[in-house]
Amino acid sequence: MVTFCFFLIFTLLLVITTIFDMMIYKQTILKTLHSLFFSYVGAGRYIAYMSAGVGLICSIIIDYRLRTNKKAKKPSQTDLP
Amino acid sequence: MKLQENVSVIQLLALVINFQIGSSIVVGLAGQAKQDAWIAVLIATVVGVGVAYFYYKLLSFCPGKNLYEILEFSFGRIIAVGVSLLFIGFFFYIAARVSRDFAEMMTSAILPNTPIEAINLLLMLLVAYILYLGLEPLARTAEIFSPYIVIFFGLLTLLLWVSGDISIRQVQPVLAYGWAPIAKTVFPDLMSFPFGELVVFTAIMCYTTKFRYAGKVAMVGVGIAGLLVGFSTAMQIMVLGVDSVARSNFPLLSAAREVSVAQFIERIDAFVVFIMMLGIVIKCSVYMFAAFKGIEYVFKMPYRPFVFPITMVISLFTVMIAFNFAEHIDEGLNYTIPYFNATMEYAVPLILFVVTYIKVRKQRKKKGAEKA
Repeated sequence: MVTFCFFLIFTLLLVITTIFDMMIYKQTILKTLHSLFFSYVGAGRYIAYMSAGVGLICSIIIDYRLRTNKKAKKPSQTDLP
Repeated sequence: MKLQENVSVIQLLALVINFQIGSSIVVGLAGQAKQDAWIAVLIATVVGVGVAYFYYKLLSFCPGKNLYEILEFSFGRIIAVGVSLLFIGFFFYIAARVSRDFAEMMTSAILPNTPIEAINLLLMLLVAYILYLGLEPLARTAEIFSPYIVIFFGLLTLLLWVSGDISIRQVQPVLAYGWAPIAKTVFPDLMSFPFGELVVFTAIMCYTTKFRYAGKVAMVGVGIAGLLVGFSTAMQIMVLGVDSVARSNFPLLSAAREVSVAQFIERIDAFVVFIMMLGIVIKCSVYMFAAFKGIEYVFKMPYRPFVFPITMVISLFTVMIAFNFAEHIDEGLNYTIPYFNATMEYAVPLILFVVTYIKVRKQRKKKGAEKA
């Protein structure tokens, strides 16, 4: 659920940012997306990409832990008397 | 088990004041009104008090419910989830913009050799930590640090006055261009930013311990914040003059740099940076808390597991929303405020207000008929 939410928020913000950039630069959607991700990629921007990557890995780990906790709480068939 | 968090009325007051001061003090307000900018801010404050009452009234239809729960009450779960996602996107987007304001100020004026991404990341980590702890620590932070804002403002004014930088002639002639530029600045600019942003409190106000006072407290908070911002605007003009304020990206910081008492007390930027930093941290946290409450509503689970990953997404978008400061300001003034802010701060809440009012009235009538 956390990973899904991560991608959902990412998509939501990407849509909003793309719409505004399209309005400002009067560009097509593909050109706007290209410039959003690939323009001015310097050392600084890699910090931002890395932090988002760490966020994604964390969300996967959190989801895994939430699922294992949920499973541990539910008594399995073999545990039943 | 749902964890219930509460804030006291004093904490709500501190939150509202810091939230309103937030980025409005960083970038300056009402530039179009020139030397009458302070009048525009004061007029907008009066309207802002009304806006705060409007949001309180909306919440008072369904006491104990936040914005998302009221949406469900009025439109049903499916539509409520859709509109909630819009609000979540809006709150996160504005949080990213607020963070960008602060990071731009830091990189251009205080830490020129530090990458903007690093400053954003640090700010977002702090916000993530505050949000992970919850609303109460956030409110306590605002409560503890608020007096410092007033003290530092007072000290800054005193030092500027002592060093002879304040000239009342800079704001004269008053109303030289008439009321038209003031009216244009108040509607829609100042109505959307910063006063319309109070919509975020529709997701928070319901957690006040004494909800019946929440409306009055929010109105007083808006009044105090408006007076502070109005005073700050007037001071910027009196110190720098209209043209310099228009040219400066961060006018209050530029004004603080003018302080020179006996060529000994100088460079008191730290006071201004403290005021800005506190305002931005509180504003960013409040926006993100409101968005996380929306996520809690949509996914029907506590928001805490979402905090760190989503905060990292916001950290990325803080950089991606604009290539440079000029684009960031242009996007904010010409696209975000008239289209996005106006819709999410006024149009949607107004529709919600009308529908909720009709629904509550119908329910009351039905209950009255049943009793009879």
